[in-house]
Amino acid sequence: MIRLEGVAKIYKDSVVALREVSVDIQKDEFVFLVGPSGSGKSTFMKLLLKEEEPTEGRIYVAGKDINQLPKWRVPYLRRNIGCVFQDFKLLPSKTVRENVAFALEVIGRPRHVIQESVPEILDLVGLSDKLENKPDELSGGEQQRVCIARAMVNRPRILLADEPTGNLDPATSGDIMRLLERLNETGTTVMMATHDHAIVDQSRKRVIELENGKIIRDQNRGVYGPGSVE
Amino acid sequence: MTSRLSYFVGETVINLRRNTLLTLAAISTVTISLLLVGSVMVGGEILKKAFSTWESKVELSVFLRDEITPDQFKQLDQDISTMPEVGRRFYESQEAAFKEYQRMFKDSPALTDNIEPDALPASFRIKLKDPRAAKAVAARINGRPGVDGNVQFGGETLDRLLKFIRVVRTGLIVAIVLTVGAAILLIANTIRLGIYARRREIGIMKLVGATNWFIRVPFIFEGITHAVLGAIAASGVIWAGKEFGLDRAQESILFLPITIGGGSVLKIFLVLLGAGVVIGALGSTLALRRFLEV
Repeated sequence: MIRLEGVAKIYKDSVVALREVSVDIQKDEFVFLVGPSGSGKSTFMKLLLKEEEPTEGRIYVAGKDINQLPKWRVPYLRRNIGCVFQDFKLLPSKTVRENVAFALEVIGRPRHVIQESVPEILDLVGLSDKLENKPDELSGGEQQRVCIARAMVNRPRILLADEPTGNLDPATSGDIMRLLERLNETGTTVMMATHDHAIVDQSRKRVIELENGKIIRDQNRGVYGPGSVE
Repeated sequence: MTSRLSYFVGETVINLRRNTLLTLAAISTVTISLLLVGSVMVGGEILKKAFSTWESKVELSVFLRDEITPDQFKQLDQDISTMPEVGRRFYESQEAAFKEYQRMFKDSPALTDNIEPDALPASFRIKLKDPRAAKAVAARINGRPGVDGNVQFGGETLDRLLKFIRVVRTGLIVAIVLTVGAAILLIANTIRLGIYARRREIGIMKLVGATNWFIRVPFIFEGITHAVLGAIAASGVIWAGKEFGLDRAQESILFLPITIGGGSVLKIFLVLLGAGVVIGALGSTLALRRFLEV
């Protein structure tokens, strides 16, 4: 589903963000991307979304070589990838329902599809009783559920989560993890960048560790690792 | 498709409301620039009318000396009638001139009482096939034996008028260029602020895979709305100017055409609307040019 071959990313001011990165992630996999701040996790995700271009190497997403992808096709690439953030990025003036519907409206989905799938996905994340609430009336965990619902409402094949539990307490983090695992079980490839030792150690999933832009560990059923800071 | 259109319209309305003051400034700048464009067009319409009236009326008057000899008279008559530019010509004797004078001023005895029948010169009146040849024909007749003074055709007044119009028109065109430029920049600026205010939404739109055009359309609609409202306002002012200004003035000045028809107003409105759409589209394009790099 995601394959990187010898990828390097060097920014204009000759800062090396990634080098010699080769990874192959299968459909149905759940992968943790770990490593200290500045190790290249964000750049990794940006490359998959084609927000940045690699300096070297090839990147395949859902079987397509995205280096070759023309600019105007990028939005269609992104419709295959859902994104979840540490700070949720919800629109404060819109209700929960509107926030999720927005993701479908702006890619031009017909109204009847929106009316059907928005309550459905919000039910899946356990928020069917908060449809008409504004984000600031929700707890952090609930806001993250809205964010996940928004990422998933278009049924993308890949879900990228950047520190999704970074702002949440351990119990709530556990809830969010269970939700992500459920989505993974329904066939979504999940890649989650995190600093959260407890979650990684508990889940026992594939762990890719980055340090100074290089992959120093790629381990199935791994733990966060003793060598890491934080 | 309908949901998409209602989305675009809704977003456009939100954009227009977001910064009322700036929106009004953009609209009024468009109004002013289009008002200037419209004024030039109104002036053009009036001139066109005035010229066609003037062309049908233009007439050379060749005044004859009282002591002209029959030979000179015959020669002159023949020369004039063989000029290719000359359409019709007729001779007005002193007597006929006197009668015409009395007819013209029959209500002003002060002007007619003290005038002798032989005070007015006899003349040839010439109608030209093409009034624009007046100057050349006059030059050829001037100075011939028996001709008194210069041939009269109102040419100098016309020259001066044309020169004046040219100066005014140049000034107006400069003003139009400047105000159109200002309008485009103001629209661009208004839209840019709108984009800034909505950067969170735009960020999410890009992330979930909205196409660039989908993101741009509401902003383009916004720019075009500014310009179309400006065009409507400018046309309204021009219509009011015609209805309450020119038409009223025309009632008291009968001999010169100074107003325009309703058809011309409609034509001007359509041109301004078209110009407005172009201005709005340019303003939006300018605002969107550097934004939305995926």
